[in-house]
Amino acid sequence: MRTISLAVCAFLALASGACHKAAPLSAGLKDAVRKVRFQAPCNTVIPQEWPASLPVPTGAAGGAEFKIFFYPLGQAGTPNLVNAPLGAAVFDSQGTVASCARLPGEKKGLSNRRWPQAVDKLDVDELQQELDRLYAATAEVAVLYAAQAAITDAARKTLQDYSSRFSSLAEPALLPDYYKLNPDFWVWLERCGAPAPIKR
Amino acid sequence: MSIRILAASLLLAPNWAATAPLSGMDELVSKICATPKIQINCSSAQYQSNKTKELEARYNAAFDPAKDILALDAMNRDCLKLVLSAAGLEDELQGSGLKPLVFWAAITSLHSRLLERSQRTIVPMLADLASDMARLEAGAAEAEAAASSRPERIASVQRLGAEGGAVLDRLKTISLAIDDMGMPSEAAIRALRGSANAAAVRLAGLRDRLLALQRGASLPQSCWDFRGLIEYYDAPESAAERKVLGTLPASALQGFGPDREVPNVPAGLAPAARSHLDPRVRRSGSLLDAPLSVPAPDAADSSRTWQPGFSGKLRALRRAGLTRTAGDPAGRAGLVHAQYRDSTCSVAAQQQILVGYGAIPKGDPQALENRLSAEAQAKGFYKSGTPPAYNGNLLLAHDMLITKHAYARPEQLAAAAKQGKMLFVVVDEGALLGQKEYLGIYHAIVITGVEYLASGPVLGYYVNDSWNTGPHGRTPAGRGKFIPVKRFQQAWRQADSQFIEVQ
Repeated sequence: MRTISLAVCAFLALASGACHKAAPLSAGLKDAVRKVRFQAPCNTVIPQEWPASLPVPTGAAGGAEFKIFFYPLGQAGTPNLVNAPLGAAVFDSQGTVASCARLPGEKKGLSNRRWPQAVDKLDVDELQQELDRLYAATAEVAVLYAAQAAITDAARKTLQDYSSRFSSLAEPALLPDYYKLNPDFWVWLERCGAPAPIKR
Repeated sequence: MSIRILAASLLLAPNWAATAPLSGMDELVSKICATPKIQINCSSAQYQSNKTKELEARYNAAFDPAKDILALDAMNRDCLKLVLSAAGLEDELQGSGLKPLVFWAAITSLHSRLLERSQRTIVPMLADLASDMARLEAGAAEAEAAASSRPERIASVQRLGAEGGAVLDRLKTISLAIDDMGMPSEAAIRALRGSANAAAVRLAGLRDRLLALQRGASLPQSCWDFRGLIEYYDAPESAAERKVLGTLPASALQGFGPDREVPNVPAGLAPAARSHLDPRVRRSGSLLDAPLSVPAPDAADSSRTWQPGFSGKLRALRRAGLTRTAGDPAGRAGLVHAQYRDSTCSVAAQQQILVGYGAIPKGDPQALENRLSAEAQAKGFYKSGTPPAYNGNLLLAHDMLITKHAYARPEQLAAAAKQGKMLFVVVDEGALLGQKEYLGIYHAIVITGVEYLASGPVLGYYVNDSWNTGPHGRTPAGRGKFIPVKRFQQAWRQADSQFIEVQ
């Protein structure tokens, strides 16, 4: 499927110049995630109040494609801060949305804690910096995952760094949903010698 | 997954996509329905196929030009639903060995053609609007110049106001159609939004002239010269938009921009097709009834007493008379309440503006929030929360003349705030409050005032923030709360720099 699609895409690139060029990944991934909900069709179906999850690589488009979900957050005083995801999107590293949909189901409370305990000692700015580093690491890992090549020691260190950062920043109540975004990615990560932050 | 990237590229390649076949869908549906392991998808595939064909047939049917915009707008919304269901179907079919590309090709081809056609339809509608406004402005100028009796002048103003109301209805219909087209970042759609914004500013100028006439005191010429207000649509950054507009016939753009000339035509409107207006907004009686962006009261008193959250340095600047306040943070603080649901911030922000500008009567905040949420939901502006495209549409539905800005520059926001207006803005609430639990929530709040140095630079904004911060009670996060400009801009930029201004 991937080969056929890339071939068609290459044809389209020649014919119309419309296909996406490979973009520099690390600088723009955070911006891309931010842009997603302002692009059609997300901007007409996903409420702006629902935060986006961390991006998970799909392995397509040379590592330039990612998946996220959106989940409602409660205000102070509501029984549950974190609710189960109710939207999802696939997009590329430039923030171009390939698909965006509401997920079936009703709002379902999961937890009163949003971030892992490791975040407790950080203030907002520090947390944003840590998230920036995780986005950069995600972009690097996505390229390795898409290549599916043998992993060098340096690459393994990159994967381990990503895995550790992800574990310290991903919303604990939503780990099963992160797994569902792309089970193959988490299995691959563990196979490559990085401690898997999420297991089936 | 790369199939989705392909689908996105189809959206960007309308010429190729327009030839995408519908015919392969039947074959694919047959295969899906005949494959036992994915039997569950059979009905979804049939649904997708039938709906896509139905929509294609609607698209190909002959259009009544006068109804085009409503038909197209409805099709845009239906197409969007099919894009979403195609996404779900593709997810289900992953790994099945069947290629759902044909669904994507068909629906994205239709989507791109709908957008093109919508654009082609809206541009001349905007041109008609401009032409009608020019006639009304000529009528207003005539009334201003005439030495007529007061009853004659009032009659003339009322006639012009009624015709202006019809123009306002058409503008509201166009504005909603632009929302349903999709991406505010795309040059063509930004250009349309820019033109609709310019039309709103111009129509507000006309309303103000008519009100002045009605009061028997004509404003000086400079007061209704709206050209300065729309200058920024011609800024260098909008070169891409101008390029798009440059491909359109000159007549389509007549009436917008600083070199506008009022055509020498008899007063009176081309018959406005009132039956072809979007049912989501009520009919305006008269332009004179469109709620005004009420100027803030003289801020002198307010600025002496209102010093929430001021640092010592800022307080010293204030005492030395070096800073100024525009707006009315103290007077408007009473408009905000702690929103009753997690995702009604956009409704609560619009509620403040509607009440503050007298478009709806003040009442029990919860009852009002519930009523407006129900109205927004019924009109498709609220879907368990407000999707960004539909921010501000409750204002529109209540006859307010608004301009919508996305990816705006800080100086645009500052200029609007310095006029003393209430502004609807979207921010990252976690970044604004400095609370990591709320990072990533894009939250609507209202700017009620701005503090700036006499030399111009903004020091910070006063905001009403309806986010409930009381764990055991109801306390809004901000009642005229002062937010230093650096923190405000960071939170605003993280939410893609949107704001909505009432004209």
